[in-house]
Amino acid sequence: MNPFLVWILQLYIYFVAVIMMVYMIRHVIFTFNRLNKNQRRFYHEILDSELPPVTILVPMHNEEVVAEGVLRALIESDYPKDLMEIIPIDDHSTDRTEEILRQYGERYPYIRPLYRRTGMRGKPAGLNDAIERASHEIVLVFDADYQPPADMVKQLAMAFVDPEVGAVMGRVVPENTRGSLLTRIIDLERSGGYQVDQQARFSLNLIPQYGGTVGGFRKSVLLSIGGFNPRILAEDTDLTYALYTRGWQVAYANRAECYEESPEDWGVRFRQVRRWARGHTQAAFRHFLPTLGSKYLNFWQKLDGVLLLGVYAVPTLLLTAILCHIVLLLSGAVAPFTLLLAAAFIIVNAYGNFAPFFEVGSATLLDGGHRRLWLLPYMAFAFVFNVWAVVGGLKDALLDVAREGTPQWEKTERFRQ
Amino acid sequence: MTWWQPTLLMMVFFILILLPFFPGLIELRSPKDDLPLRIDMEYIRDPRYFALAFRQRVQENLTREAQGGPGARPRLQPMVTLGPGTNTSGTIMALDHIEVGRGSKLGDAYSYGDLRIAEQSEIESAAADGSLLIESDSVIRGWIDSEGDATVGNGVNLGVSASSASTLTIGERCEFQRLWGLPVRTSEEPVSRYVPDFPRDREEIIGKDSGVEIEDAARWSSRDMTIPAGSTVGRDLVAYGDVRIGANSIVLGTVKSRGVVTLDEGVIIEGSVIGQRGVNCIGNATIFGNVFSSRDVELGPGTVVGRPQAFKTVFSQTRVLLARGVEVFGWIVSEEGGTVG
Amino acid sequence: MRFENDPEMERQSTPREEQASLRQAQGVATEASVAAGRVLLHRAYRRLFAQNRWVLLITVLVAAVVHYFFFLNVEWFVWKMCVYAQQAGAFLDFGARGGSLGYDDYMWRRLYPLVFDIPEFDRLGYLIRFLICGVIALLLALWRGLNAPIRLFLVTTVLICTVSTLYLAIVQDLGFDGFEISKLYLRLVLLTWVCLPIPFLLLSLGFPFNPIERLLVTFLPVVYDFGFSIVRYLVLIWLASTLGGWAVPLFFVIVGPLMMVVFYICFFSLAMKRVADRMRRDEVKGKVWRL
Repeated sequence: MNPFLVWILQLYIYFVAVIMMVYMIRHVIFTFNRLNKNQRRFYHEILDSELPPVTILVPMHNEEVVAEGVLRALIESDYPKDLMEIIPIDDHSTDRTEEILRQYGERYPYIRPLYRRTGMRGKPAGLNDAIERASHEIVLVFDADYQPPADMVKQLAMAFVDPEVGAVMGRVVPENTRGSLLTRIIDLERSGGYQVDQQARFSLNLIPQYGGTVGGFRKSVLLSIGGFNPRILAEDTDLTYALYTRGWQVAYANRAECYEESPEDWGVRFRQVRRWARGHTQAAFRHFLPTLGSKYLNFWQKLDGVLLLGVYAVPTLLLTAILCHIVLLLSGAVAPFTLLLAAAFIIVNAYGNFAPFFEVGSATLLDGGHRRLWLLPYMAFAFVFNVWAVVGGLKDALLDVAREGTPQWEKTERFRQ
Repeated sequence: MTWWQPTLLMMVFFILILLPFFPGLIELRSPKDDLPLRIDMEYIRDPRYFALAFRQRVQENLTREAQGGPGARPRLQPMVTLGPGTNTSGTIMALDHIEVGRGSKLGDAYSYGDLRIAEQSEIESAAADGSLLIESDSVIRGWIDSEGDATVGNGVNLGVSASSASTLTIGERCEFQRLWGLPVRTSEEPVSRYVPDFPRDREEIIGKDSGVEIEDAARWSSRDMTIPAGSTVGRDLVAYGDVRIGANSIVLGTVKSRGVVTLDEGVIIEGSVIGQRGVNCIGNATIFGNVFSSRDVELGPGTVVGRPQAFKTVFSQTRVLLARGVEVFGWIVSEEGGTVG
Repeated sequence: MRFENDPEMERQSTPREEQASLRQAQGVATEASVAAGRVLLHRAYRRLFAQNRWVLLITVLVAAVVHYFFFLNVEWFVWKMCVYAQQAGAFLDFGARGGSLGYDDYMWRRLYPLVFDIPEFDRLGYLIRFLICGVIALLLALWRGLNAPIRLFLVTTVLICTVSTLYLAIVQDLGFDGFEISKLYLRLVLLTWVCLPIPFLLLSLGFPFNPIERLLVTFLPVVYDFGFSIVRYLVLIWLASTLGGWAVPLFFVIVGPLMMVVFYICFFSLAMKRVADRMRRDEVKGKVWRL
């Protein structure tokens, strides 16, 4: 084999190994911080009799199964109803969603449904329409399959006592853990993602992410950046970076826990992860350079921001590095098998893949889990599964750039009976 | 080589590959830890939760007892007086008044009327529907609560929580973790000085010629920020460094710093004060919003937080140090323990 | 419905625990009250108590000494592994496929790889294998009856073979022989045994394992891998000498260091489950969580 080509392939493998090491170190720092360091508290510690008025948006598309659940939960919230406005967004539904919303709208004056029958379908477009109707500066968003507890609105609204906070994010907890191996693995992943990853990033003053649901933002700030971009599927990531690069912060509320429904079907999960990867990659294209250049971010925030933006590129890097390995192996170029190449090989194949495992295990321990820890090795299968979903998402995002079109929003299927 | 040899080899191979998945298989086949994390859907934060839950349980027990007994009312003594040095671990209850002598050691005490615990006593928890008096150098291991005024003498350790639906007055050298009162006071007398009434006086204050007017530049600073004495700032302040607000300045908004916020004498803040690395009020500051810090909060003499019509919170992830003459309408939380004096 | 960490479950016990659970529900616990053993902290902000530094230091020293002696003698372990593989090969009647031991020097250690032959094919031979692998990958991808993650795992596995056969069909030059690949395998085994325990020991320091658990999670996977390496070696020799060199990458990508990490995860998860049980047991006594 051409020595120059061998050199290029080896260089690429070293490059991927370094990237994997950086991600691994990041995961380890987060995990050690969360396990052992005093965590930064969220503003829910504040009791204040003067609460801000809030608008709550609930995007819905064919949500007859879950619509009543989320509205009932919000009605039972302890937030003063004269300070609360709920706008359920019926986004081109063809089932009983409209009927349900009409009933609730007639019964509760602070529920003001928005029926969308024209224009672009999808969450960002729906939210943009609803924000125009929102009466209040603080806007909270819940997906239709979520069940906010009684004090959730108060906890999230309290974040805006901080003038630097542009958005707030609560913790998502899967409710249907008992369904299958998939729901149990999602439960573990969610645990790691919120209990350790998000909380540590908040504690370390890095970039906690606004997740698009169980969270909220300032209406004026969103309008100042032109609202949600309907061409980006990950409107949450897009908003997170738009905020940070303009000097705003995202507050993470680990105590503000809310049940969600996890996908119970691997196909649905595949499409969900693929959509996330696609949207996240679109956001990465938009915000990579502004993040590096922002005067509001320090070095560590920029590093974390860039790593977070690149998180969905890692599986593709891994796959290509493995392909390089195969070519080098078959061509006999690995024969000398220097220590460095071997170390890179082990890092790419082993450590990097499973760095999140430590995060997930720690989060499960902190959450009080016990036998579910035995399921951790099964995440290896989920990892391969996610790799393919993410590679699909990356391909979609690249095609989006090439076509300059607007992607079609795909709703996650509901499983509640 | 026959067919069984590679078969045997592959069988052993796959068994060794699959062995790490075996414990998980046990959990999947007979799940014992597959329930969702518990979220209390009804949970609402209440600073007097201990006391109210305790009263509710007592009421339930008494009602149960009364139903079994001859009378409808619980059979309680109108007045209980315990002599000095009493040592008991049970629950003491009275309809009108409980008097605990000096140096006593008690479990729980609940009075439907007033409750007085003399100096150097030690008690698990105390609740009074009337007024509550804890005399000096006593130790509360759990919590205290009163519907009426609560007065705590010098050098008392207030345990996990001290609350009052009315005024909670605490003496010097007291240690605490959570205080709730309307207001919580560290002196006998209320703070009396003129403070503007927001939002009524807002326009008037903005219109005042106060020397230095800081507007656009004050919105955000990547470094330390100092507001000169006597300034009026008409908006929120955000700084990545420390913030110092000069004496007698007025900020019509919230002050947020990733460093330490220092408020000089007589500063008035319409909003909240958030100092990630500490908040220090030199004295006579008036804060209409909340005070929040990941580090120490020091409230100097004459500092007022909140107002009678609106309760607020002073929160420190480490320690709260209250000088004499501080008045806080609402909640004070000091995770690593606070002191007075 | 019963939930984990359910205060309702705790309320059935003593009044003190009842108070504790109420406090947990309120989230107003403090460090002092935790120390007094009266509070079950909510999960949102709780963290572990600091571990005894001296115990950690001594454990790390013991692990370092064990690992140092292992490193000094790793040549013997790898040689033993080869000898056992040779004996097992003889038992399984591998015959000409893998019998004699060669030698190789790597990381200042002498290794004794088994020598065996790998058949080579012409372009058509590789193309036929490429087509077969491609069809199998396609069939697997379309087989909806199979659980999706397992299906994708198998597809990935077969795709590795597909890529290998395609590459060999194009270049028609297998860059190694049986001895070379055997050398590579042993080098990788040596490296994973020597390298992997170190970071895993360091990572284990974050968890409240006792010293025995910590040493076990660090070294038990190596012990397990000793046995697994023998079997894996035999499968590698058997497949490579039966199917050809195109099957080799599968071993280095899927069942190489990757599988070793799965062992580590398994042993970690077992130890962490023990820790979790211990913490649940001790929680009402306090000294488990702090703010």
